[in-house]
Amino acid sequence: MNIDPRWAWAAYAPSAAAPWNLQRVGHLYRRAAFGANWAELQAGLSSGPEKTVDALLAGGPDAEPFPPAITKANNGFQLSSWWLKRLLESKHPLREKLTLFWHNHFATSNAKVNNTGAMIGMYDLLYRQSLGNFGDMAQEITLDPAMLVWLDTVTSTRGQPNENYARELMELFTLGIGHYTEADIREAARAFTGYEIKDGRGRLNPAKHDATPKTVFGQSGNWSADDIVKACLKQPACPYFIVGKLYRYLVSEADTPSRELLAPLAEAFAGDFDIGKLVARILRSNLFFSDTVYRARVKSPVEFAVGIVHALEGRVPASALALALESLGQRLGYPPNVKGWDGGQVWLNAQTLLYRQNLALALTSTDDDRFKSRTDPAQLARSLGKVEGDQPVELFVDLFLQGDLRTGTKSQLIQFLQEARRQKRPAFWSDERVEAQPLRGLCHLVLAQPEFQLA
Amino acid sequence: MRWLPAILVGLGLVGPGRAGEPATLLQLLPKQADAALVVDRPRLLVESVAGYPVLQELTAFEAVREQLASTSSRQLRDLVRHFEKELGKPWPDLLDALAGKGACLGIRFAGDSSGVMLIVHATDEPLLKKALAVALDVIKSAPRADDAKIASAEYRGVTGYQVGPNAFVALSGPVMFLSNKREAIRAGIDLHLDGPAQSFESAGRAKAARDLLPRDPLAWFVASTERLHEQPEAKQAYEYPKGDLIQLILFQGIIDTLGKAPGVAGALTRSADGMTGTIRMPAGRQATPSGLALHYPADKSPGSLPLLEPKDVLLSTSFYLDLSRLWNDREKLLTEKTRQDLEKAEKDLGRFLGGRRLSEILAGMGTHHRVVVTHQSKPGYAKRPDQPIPAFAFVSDIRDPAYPNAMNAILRLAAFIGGAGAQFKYAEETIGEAKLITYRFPESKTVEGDGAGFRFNFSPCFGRVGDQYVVSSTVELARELIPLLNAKPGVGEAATSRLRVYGAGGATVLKAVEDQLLTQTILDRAVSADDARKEAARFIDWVRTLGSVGIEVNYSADDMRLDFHHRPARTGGGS
Repeated sequence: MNIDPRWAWAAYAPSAAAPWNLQRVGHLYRRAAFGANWAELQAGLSSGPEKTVDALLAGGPDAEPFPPAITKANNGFQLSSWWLKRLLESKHPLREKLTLFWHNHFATSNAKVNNTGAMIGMYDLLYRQSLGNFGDMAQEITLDPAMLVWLDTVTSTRGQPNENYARELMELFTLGIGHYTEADIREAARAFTGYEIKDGRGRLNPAKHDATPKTVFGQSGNWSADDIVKACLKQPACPYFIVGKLYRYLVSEADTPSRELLAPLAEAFAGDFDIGKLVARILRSNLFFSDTVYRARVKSPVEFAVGIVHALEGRVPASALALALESLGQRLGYPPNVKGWDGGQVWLNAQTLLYRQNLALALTSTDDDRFKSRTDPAQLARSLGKVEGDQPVELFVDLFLQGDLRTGTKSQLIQFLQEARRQKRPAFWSDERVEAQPLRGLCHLVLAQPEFQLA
Repeated sequence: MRWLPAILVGLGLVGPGRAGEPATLLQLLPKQADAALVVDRPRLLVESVAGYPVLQELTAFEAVREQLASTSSRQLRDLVRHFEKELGKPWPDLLDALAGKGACLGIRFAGDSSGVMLIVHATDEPLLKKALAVALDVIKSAPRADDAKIASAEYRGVTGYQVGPNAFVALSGPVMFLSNKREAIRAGIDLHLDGPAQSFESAGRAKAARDLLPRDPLAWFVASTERLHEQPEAKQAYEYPKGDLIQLILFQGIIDTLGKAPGVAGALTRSADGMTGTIRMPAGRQATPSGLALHYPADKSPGSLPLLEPKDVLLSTSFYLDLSRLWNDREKLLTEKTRQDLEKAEKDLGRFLGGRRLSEILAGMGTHHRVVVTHQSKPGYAKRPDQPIPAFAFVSDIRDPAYPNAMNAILRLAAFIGGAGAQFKYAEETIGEAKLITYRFPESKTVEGDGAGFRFNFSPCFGRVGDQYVVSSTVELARELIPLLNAKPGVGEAATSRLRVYGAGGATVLKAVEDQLLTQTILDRAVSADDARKEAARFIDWVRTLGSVGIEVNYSADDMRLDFHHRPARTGGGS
């Protein structure tokens, strides 16, 4: 893909060729949040791109924090459920979305940590720094209790260094493969010896630390953990590595960006490691709003489910939804390994696609005991005054797909609605149910469209 | 002239001839059925259950109201409303008119020939006909009506309908038969027209069990066990010696009784002081081979001692179990392999029992046992565990005077081995004549792997209290039990085992974990913290007023009764 970097990262301004329309508002909300509801789509449309991005960056007040009871009970399912609850109720969805990104970047699973208090501590760190400073975040994560357990730093002592953290710091957290040597890892591992958890915090125990000189990236010194993290941050590969990962998360996972394309972002990021500034520049850019990257990501299960609930303005039990998401392959706080969830097309296979359709049905049918009528499409259509004629088709297609349908699909949806309305219903059905049932079926059909799987 | 009625029926001048009205619904149930669930007065059952205070109070909960507002509940209400509108009566009156003479669900367990049949006896025959017509219209109007057309057929002048691939319905006068088997419908019609000679009732199926039922139940069931007894698995379960030690210890009494009983019956009754369910079998103590019973005394001595009910009791159980008999009669009770395993276990356990043999311990232990679980209202430590758990104690009577000393030695050895890492502090405590050996965890020391302080749920203790031996998870509970145990138990009760769960104790436990309850409520119900707090508080109050639920097992010489009681707190059932 040959894209001019100067054009790519210059601020987007609506034009006849690239107008500010429902598609672009929806695109922004899918990438920088978990999708938009009807009011957000309309507000975005009238506010314009600048103000809409500003609002997303500023966000609103934080959602309810994790209650101490989850830590006391060390209940991993409640950890996943409450995390999901925060996503469902967030007034700062961009921050939550980036917290999820960093959770997948510094992928740590409670399956091994087995300490919900430590996992919540890591969540708080990631949330606080999600739009903050990457250098500070990398330093803090190194001494984070959950990370110390997850990558065995707590068992790494002078004379018996464990290489896990040193390896993942370079390979997965800061540089990527090809930008360090095995010798760098061996030497750096000695710098990570002697760290332990005391009173719920990571700290250095000098008695177990290897204080002899080490040589990492060609520099020798009596390095400790923070020195190695600083050394990694100074490597030229580091800003490209982080910018590249954020590009795949926010812009497109359909292509591999060239070094030239990333260069303007990476060079700026190397100066201050300011994540917020980097994200803002991406979200305001020409490339972000270009057709090239439109629907160029597969929604994760969390994006898929939270997006439906948010759009339908529902309030569903987080525990029931968390359980459903497990069958789709995503349990918050429990990434499958240190590389995190693979994402992309891996999210979709014959089974998970079926499960996604079933979850969409459960959320929209109102007769699933897990969600009852808390996300009733018919109720939404009624509240927006869009129940007559083809209005429901327009509503759901605009709300969930911003009009993105293959040729002929819309007329098929209209035909479905007409036939569903004509269908004979049991004599005992109430008028309300006779009117609502076709709308619920229609909404499910819209959510079953391939386009809805894409962000 | 036997042809005359048929001609008249054919001409539509009279309905098919009927025998007299059946005395019981079992006279309309074919004798091939194995079990029947009967409600003699459906309206009384519905009103008794729906009006039961504990259940009525549930409707104040948002969670229940939401369930009642769910699509499936609304569908049911829509359906009921439709019938009310079409038939011109409110549902309680409809229930009386359409099923005023009772309803019976018959079941036949026979592999591929299995079937169920619902029999409903109306007081208002014309209205029943109209109700069926309305029901058929509802079925016809269902979305899948094209796939399932309703077919009709005549049998002995009675029109029957096939309303689904395996669903048949017919009205014979004021009686409606609904079944998944066409043959069952026909057999029911035969019984209605010809009289009950071939009925479940006339065949006397499970009659001895039926005769044990209490009077005026809200609902009752009866099941013949003839077919069950023929199953190879059942035969194996009834046989001695036994290969399954756990089954022998826990269920031998009930299995023996079932093996000798020709039927089982049960009933639900409501009285002024609560609701009672019972299961009864016409076989009792003599069902177990003489001298082999573990679960009840051979003579007429008490089956179990009174329940222990200290403050904040959550669960209390009292039962008879003679484990020394298990050892002494192992040749008769156990298969060779199980016996060898048991003997090997006795040998292997010796090293953990301070040189004593398991058989000695079992011989020294009494036959009356009690277990009690309570909320820890008086914490034994200044530090509180993150996850509080209830305190519990096991109390048994003493057969051999040497038993307490033997148990003291064994438990001290166990504490020495198991408590080494936890730095147990040993102490002795004398209360009256009782001398308890106690252990506590030092609060100033940390224990690796227990950052949450789970150990502070325990201060284990044990010792002799009068003619009982107590092992308790906390000293505080043991102290509360001592006056209860010192009080003369009086005569024991006939019931050989009993168990009671207490709402008040449950409420206290819930109160102690209220933050957990709140968190789960928020996650499960998607409500705000304030609403969850109110809901949790209301739920705890409701649990407190629940009273108690108890189970009792009674073996008399000729029958066995398993009774379940609910006693609301306001009638004195709570602690």
